Amino acid sequence: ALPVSLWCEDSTGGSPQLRARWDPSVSGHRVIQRLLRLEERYMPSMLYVTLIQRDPQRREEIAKWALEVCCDCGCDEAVFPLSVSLMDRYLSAYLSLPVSPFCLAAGCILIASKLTECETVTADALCSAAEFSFQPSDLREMERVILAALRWDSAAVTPQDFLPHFLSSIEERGESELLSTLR
Amino acid sequence: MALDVKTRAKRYEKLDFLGEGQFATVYKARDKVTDTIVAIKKIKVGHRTEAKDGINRTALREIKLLQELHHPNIIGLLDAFGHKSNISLVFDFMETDLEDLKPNNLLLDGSGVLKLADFGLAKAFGSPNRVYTHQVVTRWYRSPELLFGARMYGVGVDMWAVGCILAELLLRIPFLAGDSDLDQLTKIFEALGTPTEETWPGMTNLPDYVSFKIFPGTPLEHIFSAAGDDLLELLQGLFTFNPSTRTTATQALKMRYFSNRPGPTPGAQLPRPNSSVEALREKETVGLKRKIDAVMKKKLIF
Repeated sequence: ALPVSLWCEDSTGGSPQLRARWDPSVSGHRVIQRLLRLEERYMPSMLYVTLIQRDPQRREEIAKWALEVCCDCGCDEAVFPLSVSLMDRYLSAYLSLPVSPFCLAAGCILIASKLTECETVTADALCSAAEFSFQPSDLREMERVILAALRWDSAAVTPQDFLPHFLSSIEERGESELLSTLR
Repeated sequence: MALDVKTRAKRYEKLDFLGEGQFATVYKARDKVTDTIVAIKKIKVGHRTEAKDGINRTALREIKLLQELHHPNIIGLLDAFGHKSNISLVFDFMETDLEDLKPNNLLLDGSGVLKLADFGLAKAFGSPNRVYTHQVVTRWYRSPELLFGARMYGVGVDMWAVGCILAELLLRIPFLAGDSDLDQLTKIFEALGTPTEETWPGMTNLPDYVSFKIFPGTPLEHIFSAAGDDLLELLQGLFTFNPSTRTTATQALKMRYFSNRPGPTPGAQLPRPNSSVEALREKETVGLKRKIDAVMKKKLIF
């Protein structure tokens, strides 16, 4: 029977994710150039990079936690790098950690998941991953703080965006051995 | 965050209420920093359960798209700010009224340039298991493959919608105004004839396919009696059932209709809404997309 509303939904409830087919018109040198140009817009400040390089442990600890959470929640591979990019840009703007650094990381995962996934991570799942060291309401507040800090410009270019283009150009050159090693 | 809202709220001085749609309320405002007039669109909060995971995700994606797209025919997003689960989007203010918030909203700026607004934003509020009585507007422009539940679809859905808008410009009323999805399909088939597996291979395998009564359809020249051959040719291409052979934008632009005389009126010479008797008369016509109508005016003289 025909459902009342034939909504063009993103997810197909349980069935495997539909992915867009490889489009040759959005690949190649031109696209890589464009990604490189866009990437500059999302670079953290030099000052931030210098500060982090002086004391990398804290950032690494939070990033590792974020990676664990992304794995536990079964996030798409694009979520983690985008989360870290968001976190770096937030910290680059503020240059100080919020009261709960894990809430910041979780907020970044929440935003990254919404931008890239069909089935998004829930606020509850993220709170429980952090053993309820913060509440869903704190997380929602954090999400807004991050978005405001980034002026809602959240969809950054990450290394993952380049990979398919690099892989396809290797493929074109017929270096299949190198390709299988890379994959 | 509270700070963010407070400073932004101070930045924009609300001048007038412009309109309200299913998903948003629009205000005219003055940006005190740049001393320009803007339109602020405040997105209504979704259901309580949607709000529990924070900012609506499709709104986030929409903002991302609008920030990346810089095109003379796409409305410019100037700013975005949020409070709780609310999101307010600040746009260029358009000369034409924003009172009918439709998902397929086409606006004209002060120099007569057509601007696409609102695209896809309505989708943000979609939840597949909810009954959407307010889906009527989009439904009229929905392609048959979407109505049959196609999950893999392409630009063809937009070209179908373009066909519907073009037909509406000619008829001055919506061309296929179904009041349910089933009725929508019936209206489409009544007008254009029921497709078969021969004319549209793969149709019967679509998830929500149901077999319909065989309608012979009406020749387009009978429906659009004022349209010339070049325009009928374009319409025919846009209303092709098989999405893979439906006319694409690139193909459409190469068609005779777009090179035949008369050429379109330069934007700046277009009549402005509320500025002439003509415009007033147009305002009385119900369900008329008068904004784009003005753009096409020159084209409509056959």
